[in-house]
Amino acid sequence: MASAKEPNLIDPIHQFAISKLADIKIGNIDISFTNSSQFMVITTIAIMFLFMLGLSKRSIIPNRFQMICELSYNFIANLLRANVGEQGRDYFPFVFTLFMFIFFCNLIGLIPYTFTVTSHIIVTFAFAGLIFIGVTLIGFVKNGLGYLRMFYPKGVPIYMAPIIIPIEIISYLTKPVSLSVRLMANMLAGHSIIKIFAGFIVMMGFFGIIPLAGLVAIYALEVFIAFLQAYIFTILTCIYLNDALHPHH
Amino acid sequence: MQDDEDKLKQLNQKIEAAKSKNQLDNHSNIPPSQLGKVMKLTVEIVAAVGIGVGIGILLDNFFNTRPLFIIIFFLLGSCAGILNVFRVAKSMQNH
Repeated sequence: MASAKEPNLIDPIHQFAISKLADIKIGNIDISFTNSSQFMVITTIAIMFLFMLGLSKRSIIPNRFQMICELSYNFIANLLRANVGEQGRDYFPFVFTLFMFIFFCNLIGLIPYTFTVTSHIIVTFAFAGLIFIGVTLIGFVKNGLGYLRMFYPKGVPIYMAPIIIPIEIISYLTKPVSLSVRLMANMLAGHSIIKIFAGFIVMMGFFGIIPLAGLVAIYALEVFIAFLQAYIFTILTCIYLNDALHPHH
Repeated sequence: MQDDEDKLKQLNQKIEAAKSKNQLDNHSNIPPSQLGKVMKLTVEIVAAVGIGVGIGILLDNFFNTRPLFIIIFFLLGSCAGILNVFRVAKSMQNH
């Protein structure tokens, strides 16, 4: 394409391209192993490796890896206790896995020549949709049909119901969309900015040192955003869970 | 022996102090950036309108009444978007 003629042309979107590594088809469904799946596997292995390394010794005075494991456990446990309460403990394994997976996906994506899994809307939307369906089911299981009462706020006159109820339902359906778009947009924007600035360095020759300095700062910011977005995704999951368990707010 | 017990007591006190400090920290979450706030509000409103129109298109295809439900659900979606923004802004003010 155009990049073959001009090697210096900036192509910030190229890093998000999906390529098939192994063609697998079942019937008409394409379930090929792509570079996206490859990095999901790498993320999972990295998390498992970290926890096996950290929890193999179980010493009273922890080493660095054990500290990381204990800190992350405490972080999520406190988050759940603060946002959901004691009932939230049942959902700890899911929330912890979710946080670690998104956090590691974001971090591994920052290493050059890697692929950012969370920069694709379909991945984040699959997460958010699954959480949304799960939380709705939990709401109905724990509260029965009384869960439907949240679509009809108290004190609203009955003739307003035909308008208010669809509005509340649409508002409820917005949750997974805004949740997934936020994570995806942050990852996409951050990685594109890094690529564009990297292109400036090549174009400006010696004076490229100025965008290089900017790039270092942006990269540091991206590391922070990688954590922050995983944290936001997790805390919103906790809030939705809390709404499902205690709907009278 | 006495020395060990004293040490243990001191350690306990330290742990308690750290725990109570931690509980205070829990409420002071990471402050969201200005850009993050703007992003959040925009996404809320766009998503609500999008979902409203989506429901409208689905219902219209089902009942063959294009464009009746698209118009109705576009308006309802806009209302839901404004409601969402209102709620998010309210929760931002409280923090």
